[in-house]
Amino acid sequence: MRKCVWLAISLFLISVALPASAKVSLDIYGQSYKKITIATPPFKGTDSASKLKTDMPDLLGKDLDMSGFFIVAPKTVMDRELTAEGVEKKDIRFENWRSLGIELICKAVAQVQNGGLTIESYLYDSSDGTLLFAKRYRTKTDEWRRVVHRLADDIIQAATGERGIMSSRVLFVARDKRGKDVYVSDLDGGALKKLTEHGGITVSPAMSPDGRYLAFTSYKEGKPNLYVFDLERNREVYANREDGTKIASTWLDKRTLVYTHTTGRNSTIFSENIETKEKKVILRQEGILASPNFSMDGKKMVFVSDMYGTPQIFIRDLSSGETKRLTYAGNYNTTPVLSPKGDLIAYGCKTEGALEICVMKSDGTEPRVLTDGGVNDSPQFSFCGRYILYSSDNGRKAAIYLMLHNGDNKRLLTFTQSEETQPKFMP
Amino acid sequence: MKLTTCVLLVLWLLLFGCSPKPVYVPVSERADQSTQTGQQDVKRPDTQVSGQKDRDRAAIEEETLQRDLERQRMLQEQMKKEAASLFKDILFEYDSYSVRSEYEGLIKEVATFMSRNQNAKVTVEGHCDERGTVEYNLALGQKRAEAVKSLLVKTGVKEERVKTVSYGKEMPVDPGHTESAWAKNRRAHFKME
Repeated sequence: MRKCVWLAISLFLISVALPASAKVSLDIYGQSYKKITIATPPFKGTDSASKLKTDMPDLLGKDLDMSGFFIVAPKTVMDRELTAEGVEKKDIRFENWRSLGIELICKAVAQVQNGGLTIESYLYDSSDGTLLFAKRYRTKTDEWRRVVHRLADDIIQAATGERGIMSSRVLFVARDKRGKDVYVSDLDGGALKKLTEHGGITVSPAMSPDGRYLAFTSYKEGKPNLYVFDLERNREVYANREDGTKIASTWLDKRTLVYTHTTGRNSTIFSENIETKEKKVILRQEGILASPNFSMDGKKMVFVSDMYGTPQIFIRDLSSGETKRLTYAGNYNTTPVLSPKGDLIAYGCKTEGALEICVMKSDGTEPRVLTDGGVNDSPQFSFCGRYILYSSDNGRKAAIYLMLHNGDNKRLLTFTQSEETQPKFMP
Repeated sequence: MKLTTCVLLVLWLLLFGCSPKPVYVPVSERADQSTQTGQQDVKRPDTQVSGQKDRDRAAIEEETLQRDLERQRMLQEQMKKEAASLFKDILFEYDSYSVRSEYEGLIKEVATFMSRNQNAKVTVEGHCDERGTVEYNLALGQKRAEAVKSLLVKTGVKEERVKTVSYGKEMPVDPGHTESAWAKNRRAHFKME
């Protein structure tokens, strides 16, 4: 549904973004990148738009700041002359912006017509006045936050060469008085929605790639059973009540769920088509198998096994069946996830007194600790691969954080007021 | 307080819930009542005598049955009480699911208890401390429960009388963040069915 809305918006593009060279590049093992200074002066617009009582430039600035690629000019540095300027190139005195050290300027006009909101935006490079893009977005007035997130993502794309993630939604588990349940929310905490309502304990949510099926493990019947809920038809379509612990991990395609099942002496990683109930064993071992995660092409699987006594990370080539151990340092390495490009693996490792989020190359070399103490869990790459979402518990309350994949720019995300764990980006 | 409410509720259920008749009347008062209501008497006078006898017998059987149930319930309660005092938690080392030899005695006691109480069923809950990932701890808790179960089975308890369930790190017995809290939380807990 949301995709349709965005498609509609794209149709109103008045001019395709000019090919802008990437202003920053992010290298996890290289030197720190330089942030770009950007200004988001007040939007021009009709009276009706100002009646919306929204602070769109402020939200845009927050988004750009959160992205980690920008230094956003505070409102106070822009004097009356600068804020009064028009949005067209001829109206702008770029030397004034340059003198403030501002590299990019995002000008916009917001208008409300027939209950719809239209935002026209222009991104300029202050060094030579180049128009980097001009776009028009149209949506319902109550969706203004989403349009601003989209504008932020477009600016991030123009400046860095890859789209931002400010329009993303996050799936996570939060605890309230009744227990732990699964929620979904916009990255900025807007449009929060509770997806399960079981009370008790619900853990390990996994959303199918089309956003239709939600798999999770719940104790609603007294033991950790695996369920799949059809969000379109609003009903449970699958339940696995076999003995033992069943944990949903991920989806191989729209209908094929991957989960682990620990019972008796063995652990098994299964893939199962939840409609036809066709079930395959991907891997079975004595002891513990946990957290399987797949490369984008589905050919490689990283997972955790305790076959050598402690939890360590392995990678398996699914066609040849060859398995290679990746972690040798420490006695606790878990929850591996492959980056979308397949070049990196983010994982959790136990160090002296803490459980940290780390990243290493997918051959196991160059491991690097990204977090700084506490119990950090459930790393997840964004679809662009530049960000890692994770949960962190410093001993008071577990919360969800976002950071760049080199560990920079750690940001607390706020959704509910309670303990939050197991975040995942929504497909 | 809770226990009293439970006992009262169970008694109430036994007296009224399971009975085919809506009201329980002691045998001594029963004859009077049947003449008082007397509906059947008027409609079917020829069956009055045998009907009365049947009802008396049914009432007696019912009373015996209820006494049995009550006795069973008391036994069950006593057993659970005994189990709770007997079945201490089995504690584990960090990230380990091998049962330390010091718990051999406890395992034997549980097995003996199970053989003395042939109706008893037990669930072994596996728990972990907070210093691990949610997913791995769920699997680890399962292995802890399974390890205890397999020892019970080796000691002679029938497999189908022991269930296992893992709670990972979801239900700490001590919410603290200290070594001693973690040690208490890395446990297998026995729960009578």
